[in-house]
Amino acid sequence: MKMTIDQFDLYKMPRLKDAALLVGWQSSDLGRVSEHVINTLVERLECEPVADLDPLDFFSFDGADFKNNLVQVPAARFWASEAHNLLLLKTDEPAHKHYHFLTSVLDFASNHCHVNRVYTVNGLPSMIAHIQPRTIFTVYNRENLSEEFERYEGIENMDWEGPPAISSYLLWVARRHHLDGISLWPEIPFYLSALEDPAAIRATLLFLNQRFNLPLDPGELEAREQEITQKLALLREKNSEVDALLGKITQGLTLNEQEQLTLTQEVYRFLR
Amino acid sequence: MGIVLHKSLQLQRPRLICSWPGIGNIGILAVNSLINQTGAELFAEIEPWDYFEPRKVKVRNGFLEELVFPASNFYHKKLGEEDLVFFAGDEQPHGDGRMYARGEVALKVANLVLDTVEQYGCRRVYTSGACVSAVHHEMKPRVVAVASSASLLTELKSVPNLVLMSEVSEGSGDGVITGMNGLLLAAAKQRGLEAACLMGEIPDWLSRTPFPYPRAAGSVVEAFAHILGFEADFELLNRQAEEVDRIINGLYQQFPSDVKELYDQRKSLSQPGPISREEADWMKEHLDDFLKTLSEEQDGGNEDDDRPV
Repeated sequence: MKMTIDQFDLYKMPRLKDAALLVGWQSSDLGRVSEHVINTLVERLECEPVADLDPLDFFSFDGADFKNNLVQVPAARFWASEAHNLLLLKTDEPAHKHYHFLTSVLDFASNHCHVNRVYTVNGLPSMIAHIQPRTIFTVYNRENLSEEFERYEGIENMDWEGPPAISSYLLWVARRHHLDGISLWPEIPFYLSALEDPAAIRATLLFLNQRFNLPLDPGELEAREQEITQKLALLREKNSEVDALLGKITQGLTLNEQEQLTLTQEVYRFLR
Repeated sequence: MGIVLHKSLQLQRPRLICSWPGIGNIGILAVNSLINQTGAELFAEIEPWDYFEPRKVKVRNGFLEELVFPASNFYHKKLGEEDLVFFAGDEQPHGDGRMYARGEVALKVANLVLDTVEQYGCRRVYTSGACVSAVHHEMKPRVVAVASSASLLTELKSVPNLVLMSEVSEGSGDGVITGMNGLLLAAAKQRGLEAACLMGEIPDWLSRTPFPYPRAAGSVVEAFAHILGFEADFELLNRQAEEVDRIINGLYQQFPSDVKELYDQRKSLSQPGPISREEADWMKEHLDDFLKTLSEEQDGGNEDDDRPV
């Protein structure tokens, strides 16, 4: 039975305690990491839907977006895994009233679902080659929080000054709510940003496996990683320009803007 | 949500002088200059998150140190026996990504500003902005005024180099002040406060470039100095104006010769004013492509192109 609390349609109140909220953004999802990670968790942990945030206040309803030929409706849905003490949120980025949106999410998570820590997942475009391991860069909203994460391999602290992403805004609002916040930014080879990057998804799932003691098996992603590696090897054979550009990246050299554009377009055409 | 007071003040019927960025940033340059020159001190600010999006994040060694929002600050200065309140907004509040504020969010901010000064008994409000005009950039920009009442207009007419809108708009005195610098006037008048907007003239073609126009800000500061009765220092604004003049002259030298010839005729006009339909069409025909190329070159290194984190 559906109930309504504030701006939420509630399906089930989960029994969680000192839980973690993991947020994945569907829009601007580089490497499709956010969506894939949340979908995997929902499916493998057999999460149950908890609530939908009424999108009317926060999203633009001035037309319809398409993705893979399918009409998309802006949505923000929570799921829960009581067994693993996890609350998940898969959401589009709000189009307006960002602060109100983020506050509503955190109020619901902390007041009704007993969340005390927030994680976000986003892809970070990087000048790395697809055959290189993916580092997960991290941002914390409390100064000593990084010490907890030093024991994990492949994690590195971020340095950045520039325009903020919605995840950084969420961490800042979480700090005002006295909630710990951690953003996970797995690297995505920039030329795979508009496609799926199974290596980044796998790196993120492996981290979450360790962090939350989850029974995930991201092994099947290895096969997809290999498939992309093989396809790109084929593209290198066929296209000498792509071969040269990927060669430069593998050697740790930086590509100029035009070279980046060329490589991204060629890879996208070949893999999509 | 609302106002954060940094200092508790006892003010006596202060006048408010405020501005937000707009064309040539004329008003905000002038108000910031007044704040600096009078030594006015910050005493309150608007909590930004309900009205603005953050501009910048600072992350050091993984720690999110700071999220930077546009500031909306109130400053106070006692000048002689008179209390003055200045308000300077870094950005116009907008709910839909437009440069100029409008709608519910804009009105809320206007009312917050007025609520704050009305509690001290404020009876008069000045805003400042730009008046797009068929003026030549080598001429001294005038200050163009509109006000909430005929008596205030009469008072303003005594200010040197200040003209009323009706004197420069083919006698009509009709028009629109877009964004917060206009909206605040309307909100003030609705509350029964006296209100006026002092606008520095900017040549029509320059209003379509991304440059500030400190020369006109200087004229506005001069007008306020007369109104408030203090001696203004123009050294900094003049220095800024010289720097911008170098760019403007560089562009002007690139004008097609027929355009330049027509444009230079403005120097001999005794009463330049807001642009007429004919002039707007003329400018569109001759300068649009030129300015478009310029704008594209300016956008080349924009920080906002970076992927946000």
